[in-house]
Amino acid sequence: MIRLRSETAKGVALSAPATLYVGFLVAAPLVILVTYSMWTQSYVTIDKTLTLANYREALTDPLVRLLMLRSILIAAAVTVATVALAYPIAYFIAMKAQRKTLWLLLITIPFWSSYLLRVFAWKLILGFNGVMNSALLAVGVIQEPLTFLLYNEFAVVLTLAHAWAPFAILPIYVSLQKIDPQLLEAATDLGNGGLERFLRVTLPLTVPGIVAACLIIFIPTVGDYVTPSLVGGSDGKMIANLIQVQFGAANNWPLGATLSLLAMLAVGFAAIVFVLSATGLGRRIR
Amino acid sequence: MTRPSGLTIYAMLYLAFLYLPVLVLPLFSFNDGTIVAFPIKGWTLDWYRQLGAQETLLSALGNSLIVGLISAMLATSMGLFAARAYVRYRFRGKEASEGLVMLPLVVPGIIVASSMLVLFISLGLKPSLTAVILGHTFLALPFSVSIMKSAFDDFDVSLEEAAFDLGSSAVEAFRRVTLPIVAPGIVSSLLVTFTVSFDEFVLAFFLSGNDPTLPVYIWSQIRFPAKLPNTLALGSLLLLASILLLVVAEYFRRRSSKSTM
Amino acid sequence: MSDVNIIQLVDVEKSFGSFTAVSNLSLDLKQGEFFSLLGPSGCGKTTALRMIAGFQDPTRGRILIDGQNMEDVPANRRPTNMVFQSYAIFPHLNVGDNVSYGLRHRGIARAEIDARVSEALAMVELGGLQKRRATELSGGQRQRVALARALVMRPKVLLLDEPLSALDKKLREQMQFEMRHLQRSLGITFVMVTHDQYEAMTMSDRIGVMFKGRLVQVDAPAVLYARPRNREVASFIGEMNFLAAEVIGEDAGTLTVKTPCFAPLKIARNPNAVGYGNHILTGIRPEQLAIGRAAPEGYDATVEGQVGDVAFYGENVHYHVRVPGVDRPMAVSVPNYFHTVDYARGDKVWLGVQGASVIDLGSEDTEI
Repeated sequence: MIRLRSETAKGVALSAPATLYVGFLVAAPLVILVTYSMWTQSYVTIDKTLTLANYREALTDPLVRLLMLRSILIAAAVTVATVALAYPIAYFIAMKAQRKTLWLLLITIPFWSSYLLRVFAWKLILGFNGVMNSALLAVGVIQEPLTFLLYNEFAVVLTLAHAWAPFAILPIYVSLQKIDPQLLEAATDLGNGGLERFLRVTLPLTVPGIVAACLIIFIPTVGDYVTPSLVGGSDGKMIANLIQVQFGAANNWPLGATLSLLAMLAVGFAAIVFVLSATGLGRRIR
Repeated sequence: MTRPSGLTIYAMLYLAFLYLPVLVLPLFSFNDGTIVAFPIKGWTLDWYRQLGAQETLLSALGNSLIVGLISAMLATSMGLFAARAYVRYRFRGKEASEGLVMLPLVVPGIIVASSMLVLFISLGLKPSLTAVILGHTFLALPFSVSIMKSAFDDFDVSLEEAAFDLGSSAVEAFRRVTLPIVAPGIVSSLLVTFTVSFDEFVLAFFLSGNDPTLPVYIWSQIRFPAKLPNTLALGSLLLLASILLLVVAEYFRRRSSKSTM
Repeated sequence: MSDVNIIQLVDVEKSFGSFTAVSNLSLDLKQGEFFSLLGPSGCGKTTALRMIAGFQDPTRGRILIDGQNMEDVPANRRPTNMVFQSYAIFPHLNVGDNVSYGLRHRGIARAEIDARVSEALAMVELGGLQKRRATELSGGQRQRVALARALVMRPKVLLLDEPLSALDKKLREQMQFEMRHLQRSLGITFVMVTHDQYEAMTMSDRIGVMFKGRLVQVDAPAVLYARPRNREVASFIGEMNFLAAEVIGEDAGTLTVKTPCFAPLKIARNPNAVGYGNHILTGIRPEQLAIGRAAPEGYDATVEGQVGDVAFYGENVHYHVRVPGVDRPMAVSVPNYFHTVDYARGDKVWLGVQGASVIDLGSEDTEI
């Protein structure tokens, strides 16, 4: 056996399989995607002359713009909704709950079921003749089925705010958990009331958790396919649906590749803007 | 007992919100009617009974099991070594490598799916279970790495040094000390990565070709209202399986951190 | 203790990138001695110990154990065993399996392994606890298991990395005596790393004091206390009043020095001190100063001062006494003879000193 003496050699060797695997599956498709995006589809064959036609088409197409913008806005709404709903729970578990591990387990269990099935369940719950409407009708709260529940942006945001719940709760919980109780006692000792103490000590110290939660939720949501397909209706369709169509029914892979790349750029840009403004804001709070 | 605080009431409501969809599927899977709405017409097990007779379903289940097992083993073995490197050694490029390995967690599914499809096609690999396995291994790797990292985090390096000091070779120290102590972490990682693969839809949808996995099969069934009760029954079974697996995984993960004190 | 060198460090250096953890370390350890490496945290003592154990390779220099060069001998083949700071008790094994860990798979008969394990456990007063789970042990018991696990290997050298730092004070003091006793009766060389000067002094035959990666002085505890090499060592071990002094006369073994507050004193030259000139640094231990309402009789020099802070320690009382010509108050330690000494803040008192108890610290570092 070769004796690897230096830490670097050992570390690099052990992490190499994972790094190379992920690296290859990230880098290689990117190169190919870029290549594809500069080809064009002419009926069943692919024209391999390099051109920016796809980008021109994508950027001028009002549908692409609409879906891209909507994807970002919906993702932002989902992020805000999820984090806002989750923060009190994280706070409750970290600061108030007697049995923290039980609560954490209870929070995570539903999410180990298939995402597809959970979205499907929401479709059944929110439908015109669905669980929610039939229950409300039976109880007599409403006389007519509610129509605003399914097939719109609201349904998408609700479903995703549910789907991402633990991804918001856990990072915030971790950052709350890290707060030294003596810091809070010190704030009280220095004259802070409960709310002031929360705003001046607790909240700023959980900014890293909040930022992590936002990124974990925002980025994948922009490219979500299942939720808009099942509960979005035509008003709730997002960019992923269009991409899937290009790779499926429309069979225009070059355009699909272009849209994928543009979506990636948009997500990356939005994420960077968010991180920069969040760190700036975090500094100001302190 | 004192009056529950506003926060406690909120927590209870939130919990109800979280569990609503997971309870709706099983509830209506026993409903003796094809429409998913109240009131429930009656109770039946027919929808479950019919499942056993559907061959495409069984073959999809078989596909999912194969894909899940192989992806879990691939991801866990890569994750095991990588996590050990991250926890144990300081080396140049460590942060970059750690960040890269966690990337699959945040890349939007549609982008992973479409880019893997074009990559595999370009490399001459047709959509197939192999393609799905490669994709799922990629998606499951961050889960394995973080579980194994926490297992190694709890592991006191001086235990390995003590084994070494008492005459063990590096391999022997790994086998007699490190492995037994992190074993629950490995089991936990296998279960979690298996579940990630077993439940994954978008990638499999793009990459599975003519061999659908269970979620892809379910997707194809969702469109047919007549099949709805069967889909509910199948979905309920899947929910149950995933949750059981994960509770067991959690048990092992706890054991791994407890055993190192 | 014999004169055979069991460990020799020759010009050993260890650097991590641009940081030098240990530089120019040369040291000979005798067979059967209890040696301590003492120094503040970050001084390189643990790195030195880990290089002897084989967990870190020296950047430069050689390490010999029992005359054999240890370069390319990995930790698992060195005739040393270690008691780790965290004790590193294997949590998945019981006490017996922990202790027998190093004996297994070595072609030793099961019966002999069992016998050696019982013997080792009896030695650390844990006889019969083989089946006890590692997770059920108290701090003191873990320490004993760690000792037994290392000693059962019959190492030529036992290495101890801050072995008592995890224990509370009472238990620590008890273990100090037990370990010293064990070391004497086994005759094995112990090398201990500690930052606790009292621990080092009560247990060791010799102590090596390290600062910033350098070994500054190696001596028996009493010598280290009475003849520290310089200000650094003098202030790390025990308390010391420092006085700048002018050398006004010298002969073979003595110097005559003039300090700011005392009449000229004839003091012994310190063979350990380095750097000489007209100005040197001298030191007086607090317990070497006499205190009284009147000038103490029979002392080489006396000075009048005024009591500042008083600290009551139980077995003795510390007074800070301001004397003319010296910026910092002089610390004076007086045994507590129950009410016979009783000075209050502001009292006028006299201090007396003998030339023989003034320590010459050379001129390596004279400014105060």
